Amino acid sequence: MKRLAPIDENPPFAGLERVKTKMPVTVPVPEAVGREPRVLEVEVNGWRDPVDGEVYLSGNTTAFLDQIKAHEMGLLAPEDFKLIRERLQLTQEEISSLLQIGQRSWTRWETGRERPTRSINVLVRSLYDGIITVPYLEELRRPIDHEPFSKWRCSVCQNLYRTSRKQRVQIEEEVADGRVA
Amino acid sequence: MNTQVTNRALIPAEWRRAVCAALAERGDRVQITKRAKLDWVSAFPCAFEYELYTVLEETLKGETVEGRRVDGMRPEGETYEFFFEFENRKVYGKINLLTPERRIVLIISSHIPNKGDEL
Repeated sequence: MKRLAPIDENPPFAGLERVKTKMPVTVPVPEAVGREPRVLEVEVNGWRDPVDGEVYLSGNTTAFLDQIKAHEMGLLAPEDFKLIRERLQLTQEEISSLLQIGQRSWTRWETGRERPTRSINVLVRSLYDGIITVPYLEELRRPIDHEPFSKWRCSVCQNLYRTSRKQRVQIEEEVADGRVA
Repeated sequence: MNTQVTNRALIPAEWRRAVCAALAERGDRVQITKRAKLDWVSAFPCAFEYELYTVLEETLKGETVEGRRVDGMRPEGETYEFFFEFENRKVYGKINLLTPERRIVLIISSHIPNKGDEL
């Protein structure tokens, strides 16, 4: 990965000198793995006050460090969020509705203002890779529809999961007869 | 760096608005000292940097946020220190709004309170 640290044109106040400095970027690993975070050292540009030695880093520089962190965590980049939405021909409002999130969240991920959680990243990557589909997400917005097959009961409405009406009647009879637990 | 402080009080709305505007825009309008950045990373290694800006902005949008003015800071500006909360932990913050332009903010401190960091 080529990393070009941003350079700000103007210092925040007069009398500062340009300086290169190394900053740590902590890359958390998924909690299930249970390992210590990785720490990278990244060289960035800053401004140094020759009077007291204080070094200042701009919002552009810290955004750059966040970008590296997100990349190392395997999070989708802002342009990926835009790409997938456009590929699916959806507006920000529509894709937010599909994912059952606030529209502002999607907008912030697409502009890079904020980063998604790992869970959201997994979900959006699955959508990106075609593992889950728009019709599937549309289906998930509806109340649970116990259509296809299973003998398990929903803990909320006590209906049988995943059965057609005919199968449901059959299974309910089997349950009543004690043939199915 | 001189850090004479005056009494704790509500942070003026005008200062809060100017700081929030810079924090919202980010880019070169927000500068953080390397020391403050390292403290933040040390306290919250998994957090993204923007989360500091977001939590500061949210805190300073509050009408009732209290802090203490710090005079004599370098460079010239209007500085307040205050506490905020992140991931259920109390954090000490100090921000200098550069004057007279009131366009750029310097985040001087952002760390878990040390002994003596009382307002």
